[in-house]
This record gives sequence, C-alpha cells and structure tokens, in this order.
Amino acid sequence: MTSSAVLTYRYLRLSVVALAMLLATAVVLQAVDDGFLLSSISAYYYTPVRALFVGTLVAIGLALVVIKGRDRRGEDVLLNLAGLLAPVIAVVPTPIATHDGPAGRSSVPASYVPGVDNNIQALLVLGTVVVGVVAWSRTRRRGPRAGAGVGPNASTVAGLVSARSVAPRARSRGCSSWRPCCSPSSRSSGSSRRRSSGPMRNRPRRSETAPAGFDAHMTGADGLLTKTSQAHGARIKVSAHSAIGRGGKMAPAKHEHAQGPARRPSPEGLADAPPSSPGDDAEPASAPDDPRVAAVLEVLGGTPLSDVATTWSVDPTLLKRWTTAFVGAGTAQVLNRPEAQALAQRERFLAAFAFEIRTPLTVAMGWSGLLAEGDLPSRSFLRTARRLQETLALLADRLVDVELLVAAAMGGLQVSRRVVTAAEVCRFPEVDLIGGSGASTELYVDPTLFTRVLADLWDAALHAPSPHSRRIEVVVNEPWAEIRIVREGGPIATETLQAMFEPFESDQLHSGVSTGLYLARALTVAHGGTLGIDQDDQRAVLWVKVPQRPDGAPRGAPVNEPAAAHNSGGSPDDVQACLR
Amino acid sequence: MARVLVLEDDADIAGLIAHILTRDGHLIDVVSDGALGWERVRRAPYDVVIVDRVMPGLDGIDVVRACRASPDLRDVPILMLTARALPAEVQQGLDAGVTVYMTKPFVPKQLSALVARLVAGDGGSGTVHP
Repeated sequence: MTSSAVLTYRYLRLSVVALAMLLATAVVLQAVDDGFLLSSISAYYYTPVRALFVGTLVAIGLALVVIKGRDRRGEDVLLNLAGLLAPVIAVVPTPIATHDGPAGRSSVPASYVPGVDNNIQALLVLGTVVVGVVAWSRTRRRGPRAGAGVGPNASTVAGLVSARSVAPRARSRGCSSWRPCCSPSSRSSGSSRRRSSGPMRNRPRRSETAPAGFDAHMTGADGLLTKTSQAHGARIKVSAHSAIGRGGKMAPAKHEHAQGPARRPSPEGLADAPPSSPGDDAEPASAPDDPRVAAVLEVLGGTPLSDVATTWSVDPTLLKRWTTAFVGAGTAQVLNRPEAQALAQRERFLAAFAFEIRTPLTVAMGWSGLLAEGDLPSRSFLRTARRLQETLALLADRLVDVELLVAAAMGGLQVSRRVVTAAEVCRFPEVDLIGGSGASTELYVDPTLFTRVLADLWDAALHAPSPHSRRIEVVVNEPWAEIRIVREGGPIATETLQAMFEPFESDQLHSGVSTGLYLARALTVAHGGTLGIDQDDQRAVLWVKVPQRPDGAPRGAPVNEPAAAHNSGGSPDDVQACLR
Repeated sequence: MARVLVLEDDADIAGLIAHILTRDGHLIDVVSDGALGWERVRRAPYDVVIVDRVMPGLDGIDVVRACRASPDLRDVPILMLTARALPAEVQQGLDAGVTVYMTKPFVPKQLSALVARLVAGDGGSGTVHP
C-alpha cells in the first residue's frame, strides 16, 4: 500500500468525524432558531435540518462499512452493522404526534410515508444485490474444492482451503501481520496473535521492508503504516510444510490444474531448491519440483492466474511477477539477449558492491600510501598496521558476501542443516542471556550460514538512532522457530527500513544501507524461512523464522549430518564449504 | 595555508584526509553530518570544502546545491570525494555545482595536489578517477 492509500484511509476516518460535526452544527443552529431542543436528533428529520441529517447519516454509514477497523474480533462486523443501519435511521423518521394519526399515539406523518417506502425498498434492493455479490465472490474465492475435501487427504486439503479463504480477507482487513497462510501458526492464529498482542500491540507502526521478491502488504490501521513482508516463495514452501505435517503427504488442492506429475516436493527439497529459471542448467523435468515454477507453468498452461494463485496459496501479484520473470528470462535465453530487468539488477549490484568496496579500499590505499611516502611518524606505524589489517579483513568479508550472494542467485548455495542449540548460533559478545525459550532451544539450521544471518540482523538493529539496548529471544511455535532481535529505542527511519533488504535501489543513496540484509534474506530463504522487521515508537523487532525440525522427524531424533555440517564458525573458510 | 572544511561521516576516511591536509599545512575542520556541515560552511569562510556524497543529516548533493544557491558561497571550490562512481551519479554531482568530482579510492599525493590546485584557484572543473 502506498502512502496515498494510507492518507485516504486516514481522511476517510476524519470524514466521519467531520460529518458528525456538520450534523451537530446544523442541529445547534436549528435549536437556536427554535429556542428549544427536540427530544432526539432523529426528530430533526422534520425540520430544515433534514437534508443534512439524511445526507450525513448515509455518508457515515458508507464510511463505516468501508472502514475495516483493527484486528479485534467482531469489530468489522459491528462497523458493518452500524454502517447498514445508519441509512435506515436516516430515511425512516422517528414517529411524532400527528393530527392525522391515532389519537394519543405517535406516528410518521402520512405525507412522509411514500418517501419512506421508496427509500426502504431501494435499500433492500441494494442490500440484496450486495449480499449476493459478496456471497458469489466468497464462493468463487473458495472454489469448487470447498465441498470436495474427501479421501485420505481430506483434512489436509480442507486445511489448505480454509486457510486460503481466510488469507485474502485477512489482508483486506488490514491484518497487522501477513503470515504464511497455511502454516499451523496462522491456522491457530498463534503467531499472528502473538505478534499483534505483544509489545507491538499499541500503535502498530509495523514497517517491514518490501524488497523485490518479497510479497509486501501495507494496510492502514490507526492511520499508520502496517506492512509485512514474506520471503520470496517462502509462502508456498510453508504451505507444503504444513500440509505434509498434517496429512502425511501433500496433494495438490486442485488436482485438475496440476501440470504433468506436479509432484509436491518435500520441505527439504523446497528449502534447498534454488529459484529455478530457464537459464539454469537443471534438466527441464526437474523444474516443476519447485512449486513456484509449477505454479508458473500452470499459468502458462492456460489456467487463470487467480485460480492458480488460489490453488497454490500465493498472492496473485506475486504469481504474476514470477510469471513475467519466467517468460522474460526464457525469452532472454532464446534470443541470447540479456533481459533488461536482470541487466539493470546486475548493474545495481555491481554499483552497490563497488560502493561497499571503495570505502575500505580508500583507507587501505591512503594509509599505505602515507607509509610509502615516509610521511608517517614511527609512533603511528602500529596503528596504521592495525588499520590495514582491519581493512583487509573487511575486504575479505565483503568478498565472502559477494560469493554467497552469487551462489544463492545461481543456485549453488549448499545449506547443510543440522540440529544446533540457539546458543551455538546466537554468539554475540554483548549477549549473555537468550530470552524466550532460551539458549538450549533446538534449531535446525546450517550453523555457519545462520550465524551470519543473525549477525547481520544484530548489526542492522544498530541503525540510527542508536538504540538503548538490544536483546535476543527465541520463540518456538511448532514447526517454526523464530529468533527475534529486539531493539529498544527510537524508530528506524522508514526509508532506511525500506532499503534495508534491497541494496540495489536508489534509496541506498540516502540511507547508506549495504548488502547485509539482502544476503541475510537470501540465506534465510535458502533455509525455507522468512524474515522481517516489526517496529513501533519504542522498539523494533528484527525476526527470522525457520522450520525447527526436518519434517516428520520426531523431536529428539538424530538427524543425519551432511559432510559440510561440521562447520561451526562464520569464518570465510567455513563459508567456503557452503559454496559449490 | 588554507582553511578546509571536510564533511565526511566515515571516521577512518575523515582521519586520513585530515592527516594528509594537516601535513600539507592546511587548517582542517571535520564534520560528520551534512546538516551540521551546511551550518558550519554558512557561518565561517573556507577556502575549500571537501564533501562526501552519502551522509546523515543532509546529503552531500544537497549541501552543494545549497552552497551554490547562496551568493556568498557560489564560488567556493567544492571537492566531492565519494565512492559513488556511476556516470549518472558523477553527472548529478557536476550538475549540482561540484567543482571537482573525485571518486574513492585515492592516494594521498592526488588529494594533496588537487587541494593545492583548488586553493590556488586552478581547480577547473571536472572529474578525477584515480
């Protein structure tokens, strides 16, 4: 959502107040003229106030229906009810004592009755049409599978359909957090509620970044930005994860749309599967192993995009982006001509990398130049040598970053996960206590790569203004493990947040954001997880969520460790083992 | 000897520049924030201003534009010393009114010579790519 949409939402709320004040002003003026107040505001229907009385109530009613309220149970229902009743109050005047009515009883004057009949009939007709459209829309969204959840996977499919039907509504109502729509956490509302009921509950200025490849949603609540992000493709992975976890195996929710074998891969395969493209050297037959590719193929096969998006529980906008990218990359291969967007991305990457590298290089060249010129006092030799050492170490780190980024982009990143404790990967000198479920919490990650992800998040929490404190919490919500870096202090600038995950956009010019979190995002996606930032006026939570255990493995069961799993550090040597 | 204002938010690079120019006999003031730097350059006369492009507070380009919009600072030599080296970025700097656009990294001799030229009013206009 753009800021203009947020402003629209804010103005809509203000308009309700303005309309009420308009009506109140008209009533007061009339009361001054009359020299007395009528028994109710509705009674002013019979006075010169009527035009404003009817107009403001209809307008307020419409606004109340449009406004979705906050994430409180029933709030939107009550708003809708109030919105529907407001026009009724407007067009059906309150009974008054009349000369033509029964003696001693109040009634609507006969001259007004035809108008009331007409207005009420119009409201009933419109209401019927609206109800019909809403019902048709929901039925269409739910699809024919709603009643077809039979067979061995009935519970799984039902779970998927149920979650899908909830997801779009949740978004349109301004869910404060966009969660994987089919994850157990979202099914039980645990994660979502936890997030909105935690420290972020008051004034949820949630500003997550929305880099390219992320599915971002912003909704206006309290006139403030609410925005969440989802790692590229992670939602589909999550869907598969949860479905397998419940039903034992995963079947497509809409079999008739599956192309070819349309085999849903295991979570392991999903997590490790690089984003495929026609440019990859992988065999064509393996492409549908990636659900993103399978979904795109369904679209290209002629299935309506909206249907495919529903089937695969993916946002239609995201699916459209995948399809466009897929076709663009394929066209570039066929024509042997680089795709314009990919070319631009490559140029921005080179510019960002060059920017990153030039600063430490300046320090190294400057001080070594002074040494060479003999203009450095001898007492400065040691200090200069240290600076050079630090600079070279920084250059080595940057080199590893680039290697990892390229490996992730080319599908050459080897994620060697194993069960480790939170303490093994949350290794920061400033941290002596891990909150939440504690340091002994088991995580199923590549320790080398995940340590780097956490280190990048930990550093990102230092963005200006300087925080008062930082701490780490681990929260387990089966089958997910979420590590949160909680930053206490003033909010990070919105433009910095927006640029944080995307180092190649022009925002970098102003924010100075480096490649750090872009790499963290890539590594997290490779783990089958997602990451983001929640922020309000007092604190920011930088979180990363990954599957806690290999799917189907009971807790405590040993996990086969791949050869590279013995890396335990984050040094360049360790990282080399993750590149293939 | 000249008065040189250095607007640079990276402490290491600011220290390096200060060391080089102090060695050359110049008086150096270092400010790490663009907005504070603009305040400083408005209030005190400087012979040369060295400005980084990406800074907190006020962007280096904005500082240059503000200087060029001020009658008193229209002619002060400004050296933009930055890691931004794309042609479009260089052109943007020159359009803003930078006297010399110099990309990092640099070697001390280059900086010394360039500042000496600017102080002597011989800086001309253009770009320097070490």
